[in-house]
Amino acid sequence: MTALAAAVQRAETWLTAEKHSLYGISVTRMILGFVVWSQLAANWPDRHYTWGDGARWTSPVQAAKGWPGVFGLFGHASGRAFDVAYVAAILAGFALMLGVFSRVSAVVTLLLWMSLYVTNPFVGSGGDAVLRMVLLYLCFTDSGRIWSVDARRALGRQARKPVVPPWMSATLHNLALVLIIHQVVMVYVGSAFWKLQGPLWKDGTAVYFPLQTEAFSPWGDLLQPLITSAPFVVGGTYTALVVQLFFPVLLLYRPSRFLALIMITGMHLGIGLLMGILYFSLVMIAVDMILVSDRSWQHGLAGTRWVASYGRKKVLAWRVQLKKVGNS
Amino acid sequence: MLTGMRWLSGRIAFLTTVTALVVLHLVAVTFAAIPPNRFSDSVAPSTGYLEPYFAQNWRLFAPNPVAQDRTVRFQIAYRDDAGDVQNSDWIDWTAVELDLVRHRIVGGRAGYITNKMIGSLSSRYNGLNGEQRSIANIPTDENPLSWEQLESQLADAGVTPNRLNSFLLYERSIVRLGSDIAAGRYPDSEVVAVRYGIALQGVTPYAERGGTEAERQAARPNRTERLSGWRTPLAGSEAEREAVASFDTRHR
Repeated sequence: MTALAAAVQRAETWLTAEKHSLYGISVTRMILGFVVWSQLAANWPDRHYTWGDGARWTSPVQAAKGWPGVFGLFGHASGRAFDVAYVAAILAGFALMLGVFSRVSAVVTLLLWMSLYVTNPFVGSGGDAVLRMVLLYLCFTDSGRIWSVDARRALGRQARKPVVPPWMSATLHNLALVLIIHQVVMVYVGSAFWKLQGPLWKDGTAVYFPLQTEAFSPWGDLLQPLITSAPFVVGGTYTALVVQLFFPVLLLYRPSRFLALIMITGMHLGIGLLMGILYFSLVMIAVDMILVSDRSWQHGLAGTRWVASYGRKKVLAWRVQLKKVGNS
Repeated sequence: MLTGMRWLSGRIAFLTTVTALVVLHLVAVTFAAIPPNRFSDSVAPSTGYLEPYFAQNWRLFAPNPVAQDRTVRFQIAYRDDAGDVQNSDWIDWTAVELDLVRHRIVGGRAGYITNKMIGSLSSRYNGLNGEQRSIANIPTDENPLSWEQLESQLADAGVTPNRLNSFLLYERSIVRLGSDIAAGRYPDSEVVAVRYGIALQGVTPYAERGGTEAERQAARPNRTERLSGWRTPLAGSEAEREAVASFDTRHR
């Protein structure tokens, strides 16, 4: 067998034999579901101005964007009908988070979220763009296999006859994972290439500027000493640039992958909290979680259980000790 | 045997097709995500399908991060009880929206709407030449150009149909927002015209960041503002006006 044939064989086995990253994709599903429902709930008081009747003034621009008609639900809903659809979107996101009929929830969440998103062309962000693409790919994955209501229900039930052959389902799942991981890598690398063209990124001061604007410094007046300090500004700027640029390389080795994920998660949390764009950060963190291998999630889970069990034993021993002291 | 072979060829066809589609999509996304270069330019006709759903715009604070406060303000011309046209004070609508952002861990999504609109509005205005801009900026509040007059005068001044259409899309949108706001703030008056202003002010330069609050403010570059011409109002439906007025009442 030639080397090429062996490589094709290995690729086919990887694609068809089993579904990969089941833990990671479950965490992604949970966080994305949370992002959808909690964000909509948080924006409930201003929903009509943001996406509803009060956003119709954007319709000349919206019509020119060319979104498919399948996303037209909220564009045609007004008043109470809009509110009912809005609540349905919240419930769909909640069901996705819990993993209730995960695949159906993913499809419904995608349709409702996108229908809402397209109604106002001036509300979207980079996080929304990632969310819509990953939600689409998520529909092809088995994201409810683990840590979901679906998984819990499947425990006490006989295995159902699959609708499509297992190899086909595995192929779609694994290819969707590839698409998601590639997309997140391109977000970081593409963004880093753009940053390299900017003088403020190269001289290490870029982080300072958005944090001085009214729109992206909700805590600017309170955190001025921190966000104007040179170590914070220069460290933040170069860390963002280097981690994003070398993200795909850092993924290749297990230790550097962990380092990259810790740094990029820290960066997202920093951006989210300091700039008031937490949902953008949560979407990126959700997608990054796919990059943690199933083995690492299992080790992490086992470690957490051990710590919890050790803690329980310690508390019990402490209580016994306390009782003895009390009796004596 | 025959069934087995059919099954195998079906499996191979499926795997080959979906894998090929995914690989092509990965290549398209890769070229679309990186800054334009001669390779991405050469495949651009094949990556058009990415818009709008798979649009790859990852210029997150790059190449230049946001370094300005951007504001959209509106002024309303309305007829008073004596029948005279009066101009309102300027209404800082970006400040109303920013109420959703200040001191909130999670900013409301409506907090950045006009902020995000400014870039598109400005780029379309900047596409006009001096003569065309003077038509767009005609300062008459009592008898503003109708939208048809504005369109035909700009076309006569040489604005290409695509550019004109794009300019008017954004003008109509922003004026309709201003008209909705006017209807909420002056419910009993006839609104005669609306105009908007886009103000920009750079943040304190990096080198001046260590000063007191007053010193930092004094070190900021001067504020610049572009005022549009007066436009004929374009108020939306009753539900639209009510929703904008309700938002205004909660956050102004």
